[in-house]
Amino acid sequence: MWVAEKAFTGVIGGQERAFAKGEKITEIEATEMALADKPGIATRTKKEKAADGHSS
Amino acid sequence: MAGTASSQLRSAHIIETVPGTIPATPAFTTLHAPARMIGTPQTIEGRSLIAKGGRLGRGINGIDVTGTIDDSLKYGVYDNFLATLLQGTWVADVLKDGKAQTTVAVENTLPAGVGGTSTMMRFRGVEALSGTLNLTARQAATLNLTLAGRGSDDASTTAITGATYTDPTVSDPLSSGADVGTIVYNGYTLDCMMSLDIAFNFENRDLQPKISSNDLCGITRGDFLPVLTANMYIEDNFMAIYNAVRARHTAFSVTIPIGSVIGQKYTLVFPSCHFATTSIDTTGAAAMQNVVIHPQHDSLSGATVTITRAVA
Repeated sequence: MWVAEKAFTGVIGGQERAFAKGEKITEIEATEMALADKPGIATRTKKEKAADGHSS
Repeated sequence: MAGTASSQLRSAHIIETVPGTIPATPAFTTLHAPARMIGTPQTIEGRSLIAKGGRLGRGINGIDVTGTIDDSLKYGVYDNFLATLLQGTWVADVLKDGKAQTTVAVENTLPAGVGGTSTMMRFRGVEALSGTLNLTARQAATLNLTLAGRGSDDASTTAITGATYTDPTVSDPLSSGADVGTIVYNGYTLDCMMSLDIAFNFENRDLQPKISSNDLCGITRGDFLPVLTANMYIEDNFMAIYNAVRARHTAFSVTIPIGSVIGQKYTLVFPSCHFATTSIDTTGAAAMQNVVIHPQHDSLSGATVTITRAVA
């Protein structure tokens, strides 16, 4: 699971989606937006059972 | 459906790793002012005897990519464009002029009418070919950039997979008043300055068209020939500069601090400069001294200008 560090817009499944600061981002979404390569946009939270069924 | 407003434009950019190629899953940063990009097809219009000498047939020679950015200077917002202008890269918050191919991709998005589908126009390999930073008393510090790109894509309603868009963190425009620190010409005491115009001029920074493509091969690096033009009130120090211009004189540095928030300041240093000309203007109410300065390459820093950001 990831959390948005700031408000931003991301392209998910070909559609733009606005994320508010503090909004949770699933691992699948984070992977699609390559957030791991984009410092300052979102932070990966500690490992927990993710709601999307993927380990985070 | 009502027509789209100009203010509905989203203008975003990203530094390119490969000039002319938009990075995959790009992390775009939006701009406060539009990068007004234009893709202009260079057409071949056929003329034919079959049409009794009139037009018949059309072809495309290539598509020119040009543009401008005109805005008040805002800390950090145009740093990438400054890097393209100076053909350098920010290293530890320091940018020097060089000969690198630093480019950005620009994506301008407009809804096709109010509530209409977002439509993207993308421009690749964009760099600032020249620019001016103007400081005038009682006015905002303004940055004007002339842009050119290596290529452009057809307009599309398809967003780039995985793209993100973040807004710049700083929105306050810098003034030419309290946001400008003490300008120093090393070795000279300066009278009050009414304006300072910093022209980042290049010669021979030309487009490189090629066959087999609408895109450019590249853009010639050109020769960096900046010009500083100061308009100063006539006070007790004007004679020193007036006479220095008239003779061979020792090169001096020019330091221009811009910004007043700790950590959000720039320092521009032209380490080696000569006076080019000066003139006295008595056409207005106040007598003014116009001073033109030509910075030159400085072997110690290896550059003509050094810009430091994030200055405390």
